[in-house]
Amino acid sequence: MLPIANRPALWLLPVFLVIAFVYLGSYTELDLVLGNPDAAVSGASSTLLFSCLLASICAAIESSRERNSRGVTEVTSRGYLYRILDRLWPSVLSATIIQIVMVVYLVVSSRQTPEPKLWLVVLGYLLAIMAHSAFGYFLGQWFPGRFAVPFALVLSYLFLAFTGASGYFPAHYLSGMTLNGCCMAAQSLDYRGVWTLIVFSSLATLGFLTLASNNNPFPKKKTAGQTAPRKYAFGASVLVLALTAGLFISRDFDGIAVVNDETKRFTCTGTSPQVCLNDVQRFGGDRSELVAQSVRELSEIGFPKAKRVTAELDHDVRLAETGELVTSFEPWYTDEQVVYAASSSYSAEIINHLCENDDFDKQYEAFEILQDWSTNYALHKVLGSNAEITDEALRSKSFEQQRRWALNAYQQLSRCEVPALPKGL
Amino acid sequence: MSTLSIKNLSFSYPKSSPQLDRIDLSYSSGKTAILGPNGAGKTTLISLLATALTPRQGTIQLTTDVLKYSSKELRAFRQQVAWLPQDFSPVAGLSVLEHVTYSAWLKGASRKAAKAAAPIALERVGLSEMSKHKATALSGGQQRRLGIAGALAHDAAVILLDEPTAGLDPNQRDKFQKILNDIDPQKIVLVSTHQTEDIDGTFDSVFVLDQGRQKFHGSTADFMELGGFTEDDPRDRIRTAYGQLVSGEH
Repeated sequence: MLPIANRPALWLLPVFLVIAFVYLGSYTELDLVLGNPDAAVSGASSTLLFSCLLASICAAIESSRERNSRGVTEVTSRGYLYRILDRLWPSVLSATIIQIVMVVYLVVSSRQTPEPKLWLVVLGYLLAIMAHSAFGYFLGQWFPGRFAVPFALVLSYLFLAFTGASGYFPAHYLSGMTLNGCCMAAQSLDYRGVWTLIVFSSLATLGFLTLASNNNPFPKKKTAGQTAPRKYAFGASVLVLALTAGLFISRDFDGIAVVNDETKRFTCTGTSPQVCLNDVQRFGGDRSELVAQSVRELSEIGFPKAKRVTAELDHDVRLAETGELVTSFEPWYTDEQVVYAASSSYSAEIINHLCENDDFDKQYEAFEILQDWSTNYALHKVLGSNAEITDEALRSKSFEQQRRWALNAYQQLSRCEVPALPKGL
Repeated sequence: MSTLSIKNLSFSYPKSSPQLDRIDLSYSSGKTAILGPNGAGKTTLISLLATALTPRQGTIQLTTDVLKYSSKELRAFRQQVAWLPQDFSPVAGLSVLEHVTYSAWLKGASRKAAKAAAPIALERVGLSEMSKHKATALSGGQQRRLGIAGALAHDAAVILLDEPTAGLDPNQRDKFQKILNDIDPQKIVLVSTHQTEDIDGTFDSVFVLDQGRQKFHGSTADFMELGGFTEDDPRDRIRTAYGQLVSGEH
């Protein structure tokens, strides 16, 4: 019913939309979402910073307009929900437009169609926006506009920016912004992170709207009405429940809500060695032969032969036991990065199982030299790269001496021994 | 025709003496002046009738329905009642026309009905020419007329006006008097006021409060009779009657 012309959301939308685009353009590598709709939809969570701020500020302004009036909104025949819907829809819609535009932009950049389940993430964004709108509305009802609007700006910002910075990981998922840590090609979004956002935001919306519906404890006029202590108790309890439920759902989380994806089908090709990549990793072209060639070059000079190379993360295997090597592979990798990742699989396995002892620093130094040498060798053999070995002592030796040192270091490190460094030879 | 009755109505803020004590009244139409000194309970009575406050005791009844303060009943009751508080303040961000439309909609009128009624209500309060101005930019007197326009736009059966002419200049008061006289005589209009000069000729009945207690409830003619001989100046008679009531002589 309220006319749209003078709603703050109308004139703040273009400003926030531009800021969100500039932010996304500056801080998001579009290559990271290539072929990966999970990463695309989740990546849009970074712009919740702007959409939620917009929702919170606009709702606070709208709410203050109501609070500053007298004799118009106090004794209405319209239900509370009806009235706040009329008040808040432009704030929610504007913020949703920003968020949807960002999702669409990233999904288009991924060049893949998102799976239907990813709509849950969008629902999470919508509910986060509603929670911030409810928060702004609550502030506008409880405090004069000159305080409510800055409070909305600062408090929403602090919540969005600092839940992700907390050392307590479950708290990261309350605001939804850390969803943008999802995902590498061999990972999927852990939907418990999304459910945290959905449950927390829904309950927080209910809590703030309940508190806002009660006449505030700092009324402009005593005759503005009476407060209902039960509403304070209910509103505050729902907020506590929101926090508890959100933290409970995300209780087992680390810094990023991802799972090693078993549903993304890994297809194995070739024989010497066989290379297993999933659909996302194969997006934009099959480069499994490049992986195979990189590993083959190293096995031909004495490194153990691998039967299979897989890019499945957290696949905890040992080459000596299963004949499998684990590499990393993203669709946006350059050929150099593919060769580097594949050829460093040998040393990566060592670092994953590096023994902890008093000589750890020395072991690690040897590992670094080994990794540098093996990747340099593969890059040279596969792509003709002429990059120099970093370690001067090793570089000064003949190829055969280098090769022997590398193989010896690999074997010794695999056995938890400390190899002699090239400068000591 | 609606009937507004209140029975044994009392109100007090927590830990304070009663603002209103066992008030009874009943109206089915016409304009009533609620008189009383500062702190007599006029604003409290109007606020209770507007449902901005809830009584500690007693009932408010509109026609046959006793108000029970459930959300549904409150909404239905409020649809019938318009309220202009003493410190009426419009909603920011709206033009005068939008404000009246919004007020009518909040009181239950459909969008279409509110949009149709708003220009007519503005015409009646003499604000048509300012319909595109910002509501918050109006002067104090104009803002009160805006409030009345909101009340008229949704065709309430009961109109409650709390000190509508307080602080207005004589010109604005004359305009307000004219608006009041033009209101449909079938409606129940309760106006709290300090100004006793305009009672004769405008109001059908008078209700006098003092320290939360009902001192007089009757027709304007009966009220004036308390003030002396009929050949005296009506204004003097009203002042005399009022002075006697609030000082406890009757």
